Amino acid sequence: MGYLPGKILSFFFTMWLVSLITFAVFQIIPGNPALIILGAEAEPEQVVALERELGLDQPLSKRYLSWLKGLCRGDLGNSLRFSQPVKNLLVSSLKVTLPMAGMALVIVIFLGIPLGIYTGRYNQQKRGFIPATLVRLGIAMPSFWLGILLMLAFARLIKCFTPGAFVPWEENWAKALFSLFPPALAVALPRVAILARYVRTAFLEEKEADYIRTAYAKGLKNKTVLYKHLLKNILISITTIIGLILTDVLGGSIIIENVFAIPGVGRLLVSAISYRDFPLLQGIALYLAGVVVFINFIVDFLYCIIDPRIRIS
Amino acid sequence: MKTKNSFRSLKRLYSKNKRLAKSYEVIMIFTQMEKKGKIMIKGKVLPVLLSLLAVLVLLVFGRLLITGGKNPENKVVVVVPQDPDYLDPHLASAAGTYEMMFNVYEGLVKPASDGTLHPAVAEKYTISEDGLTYTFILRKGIKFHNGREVTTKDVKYSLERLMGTHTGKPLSSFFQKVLTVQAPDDQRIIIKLKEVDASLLSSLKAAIIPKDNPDPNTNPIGTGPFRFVEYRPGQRVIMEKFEDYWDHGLPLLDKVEFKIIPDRESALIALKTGTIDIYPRIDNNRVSELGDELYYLQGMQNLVQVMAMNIKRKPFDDLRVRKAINYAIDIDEIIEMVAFGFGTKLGSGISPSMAQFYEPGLEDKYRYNQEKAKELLAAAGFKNGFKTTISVPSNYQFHVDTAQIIVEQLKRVGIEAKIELVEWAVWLQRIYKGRDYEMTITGLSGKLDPMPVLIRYTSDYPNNFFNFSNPEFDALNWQAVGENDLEKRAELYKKAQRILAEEAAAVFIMDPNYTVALKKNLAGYKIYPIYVQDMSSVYYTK
Repeated sequence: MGYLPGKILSFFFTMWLVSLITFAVFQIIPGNPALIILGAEAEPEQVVALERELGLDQPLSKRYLSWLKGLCRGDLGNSLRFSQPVKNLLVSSLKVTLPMAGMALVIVIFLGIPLGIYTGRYNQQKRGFIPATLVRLGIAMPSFWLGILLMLAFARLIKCFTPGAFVPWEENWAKALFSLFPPALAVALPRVAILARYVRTAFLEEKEADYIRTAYAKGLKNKTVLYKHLLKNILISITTIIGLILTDVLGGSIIIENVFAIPGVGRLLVSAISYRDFPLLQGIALYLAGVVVFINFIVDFLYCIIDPRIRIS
Repeated sequence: MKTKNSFRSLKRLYSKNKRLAKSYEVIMIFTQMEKKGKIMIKGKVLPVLLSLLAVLVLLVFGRLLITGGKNPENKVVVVVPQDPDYLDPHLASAAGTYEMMFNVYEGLVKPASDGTLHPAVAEKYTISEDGLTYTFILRKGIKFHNGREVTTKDVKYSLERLMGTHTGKPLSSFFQKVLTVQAPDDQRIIIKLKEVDASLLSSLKAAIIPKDNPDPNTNPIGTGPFRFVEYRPGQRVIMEKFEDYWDHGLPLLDKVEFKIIPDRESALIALKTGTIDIYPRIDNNRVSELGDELYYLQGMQNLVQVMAMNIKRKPFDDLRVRKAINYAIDIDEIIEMVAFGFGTKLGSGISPSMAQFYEPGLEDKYRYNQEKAKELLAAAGFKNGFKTTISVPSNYQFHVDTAQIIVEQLKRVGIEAKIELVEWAVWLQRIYKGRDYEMTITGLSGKLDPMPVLIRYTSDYPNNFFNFSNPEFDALNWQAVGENDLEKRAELYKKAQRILAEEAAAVFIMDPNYTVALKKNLAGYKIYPIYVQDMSSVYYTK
């Protein structure tokens, strides 16, 4: 089998497996969507009526099959909680998560790589001490705490970004973009630390390689050796880790989105789970699985470009 | 040499960008660095400074965007913790939905902030001598938000939709005693009952909607002071002033936005920084942080916080054990520690905010008494106490905090309770519906009428998760529903409350105060004894 057909086949297989697992989990966990939607104040008549309305009186296996059937027609079904097409909900939360992920990725790359090289270059030296400590701190700091700190800093000290400031893009795109910056920063900072750490390790390992010694022996300048020879060679591991980070941020951050009150994929996921919203959860699971598979594919592809010795087979 | 070079380039940058730097106060950083010219400025300074500048420009610009053009509209933003369940008023049941849509929908009658019912879609009504016939006169010229006048047919359609007359699927159980709804002409609506139902009037606050609206869930149309504009899941619900509102002069605002922020800390910050104007149900311990720009109002919430003990389970089937637990719990301490003193002690299933029906004095029936609790436990055969579990819905921090204090208090009399945090979905399914628990803490919201509040404890009520069963109590309730005389009815409900206390149906803890924080220049906010945000009377003072 060729590379591409194999990938596509495994893509669909992964998606199906994910939906099956979600389905299985839903069989196990307790909770009735109709009851959760209506709450404790609901009258029994309302619950029964709603169950019928949502098709909850059907067994879950039957609901799963009809969901699969709909999927084949490209229909993700209707959310139980929001009584809206899952597709619309996903699209509107992606409009938040994608730009935020993009911003976060830019921050991660432009801070993480230089920081990693710097800490690698001045490893165990005085001038590398503060950046190295910051990196360690970034890894150790829990993200919810970082989120709250950043929000306090932005809202209270600089007084420019406040939670709930997000407005729909159509209304004021500049405001929307700006209100996404602090959460993007909160999402990015721990990952900057992770990336820097990886880059540093790769840097230190590579520094001992024979070709580096040769390069120095040739009388090349330090700068040339580091940025032309060494960086090129650690690009593979950098790409791998950036791929991982990208899948991570594209999935939305549950905590950060909650803290900054922005309606992204993470918040949608939480509401899907807490409301036992089966079609919505399936839709999000598919999206997440799709992102992982797609990014992996892109990363594979990038390997070949970075290192022509690698062939996709 | 190197240092000198980079210092020169820095200086160059400084002179080049002087104007830009000045306007963004970056100049401070530059001058400081210049003064400390001796410090080693290494080669990477330029990009660092440039990025610093970029960030500053971004911040200043962002700040202008957010604060600039400040509230030229006559609009308030109210924060709410969750999405509405349904915009269709007959499908919706969540209190969080009703509190918003109260501004959009109205019934034949409408509650006022003192808990009394006033005609709304109807102009007036009469009740026949025997209490079996209600005649409503439609308000003249009242219009729906789509501009069409309300007809008696719309009223008939709305009520019959709730009763399930044509579908066989009732959407509400409060109209079971209604025989027919008739609209004989374009003025009168006549409701005939099978038997007397004293709580019917309060059920008639149910929304009147147009007969010809194909999808009330995506396109909600009512007769209220505000017109529905937009709902974005996870973000907001927007309403606009309804110009043709029957109560002329109202509403005073042009626009209301309900912003959905689930995190309480974020909501508080949004309030302080001015993104939101009104924060209902703010934590009582946070009001001291409000500062000069904000103020708060407080009132009784008409909520009954209870700790239920599963009466069908050992050892709670023993009245002595239930009494012992009531004696062992120091409610004053709970109010002090959990609600910071902002709460009213309860002794039964009704909050004092329903003054007419409230039986005073019961709150001291089980005054905190460790010795008595121990005696009762010993008499019940639990000289050394027992082990039990308190299941608490994890999304209600208030109840979780209460549970923690109760655990300590029960320890003093030898009862070893452990806390089990359950997810809300699980709580509803397993504990509320399935009645599979030992003890649990929750808040039961009060209503305008005592019937739906006390019916929870009747033995055949489907949601009687207390498993309380007392024939005398049941009889009193049915008697009260059939009693049209207000005073006699109140007396029956008071008697019922005494039974609840005497039988220790649960530990009735408190009615935590309702606290709302508002901007200083907002006035006219009214606190209701039900879960409602009435925006029609709110206005800006300047």
